[in-house]
Amino acid sequence: MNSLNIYYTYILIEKELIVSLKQGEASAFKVLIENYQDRVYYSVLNILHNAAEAEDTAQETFIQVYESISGFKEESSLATWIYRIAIRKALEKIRKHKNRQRLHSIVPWWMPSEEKSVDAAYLNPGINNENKEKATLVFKAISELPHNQRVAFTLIRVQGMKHEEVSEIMQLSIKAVESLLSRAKENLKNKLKHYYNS
Amino acid sequence: MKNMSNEQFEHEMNIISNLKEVSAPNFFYTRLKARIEKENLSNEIAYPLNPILVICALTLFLFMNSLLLKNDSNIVNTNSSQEMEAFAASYDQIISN
Repeated sequence: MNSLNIYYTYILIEKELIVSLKQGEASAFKVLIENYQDRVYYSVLNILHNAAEAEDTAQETFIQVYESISGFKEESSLATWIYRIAIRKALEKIRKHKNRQRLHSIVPWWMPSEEKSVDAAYLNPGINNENKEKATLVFKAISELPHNQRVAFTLIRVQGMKHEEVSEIMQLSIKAVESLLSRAKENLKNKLKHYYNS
Repeated sequence: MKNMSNEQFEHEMNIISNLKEVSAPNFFYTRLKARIEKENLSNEIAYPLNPILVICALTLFLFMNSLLLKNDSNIVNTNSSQEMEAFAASYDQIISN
């Protein structure tokens, strides 16, 4: 089967899957999760830097997909739509976490400190032992980036997505994504120079 | 403090690039299904406790109560004036309003 055939087969399967999902078929939902769970989990893990939070967010993503599939207009691919939901959910988690931290610093007796920290010394499980220390520093620096820069940089540099895919997921132009990536690089260089010069 | 060169930066970034994708935890689908069922159940339980429903029910209850009270007081008033007239009539008196 040539690549064009594979592509059209994939499109047909996706179309059928969307129809079945809109009809509320439980088996279609299971297929959807089996196809996307690893990608969604890995994406949110790379943004949230915490395995438990990532699983929770991935679950929330699929619940949202389940609840709003009837409203999916198919203007983008199913994968892009799911990624968009996942990234939005992950960013909501980060915002909530930051708000809680802020509130905790103002009224510590009222808002208890969270046991699990989202960014506490995250290490991607795919990193080999000899690079662990450096990778921890790099991920810490990434976690300090502004949200949009963090998402763009993670999707492109850590997950190896194309600029076009990221622009669709983030609903930004390719130029805007490139600009985010370039600013993220500059910020990371500034943050990392402290570690590498010491 | 000197800045990192592009080459140095790219070298450091290679550590975190093209990593092996991490799979979702085991039994992800089972846990998700359980969560959806739990949320559906809690939504069903929470439905009668919906604040809008509770407020509407309370308003209706108070409105019905006030209507009943108003009707009761009219009945009492009518009854008491009839009794007064009967009492006055028994002494050959007339009550004028």
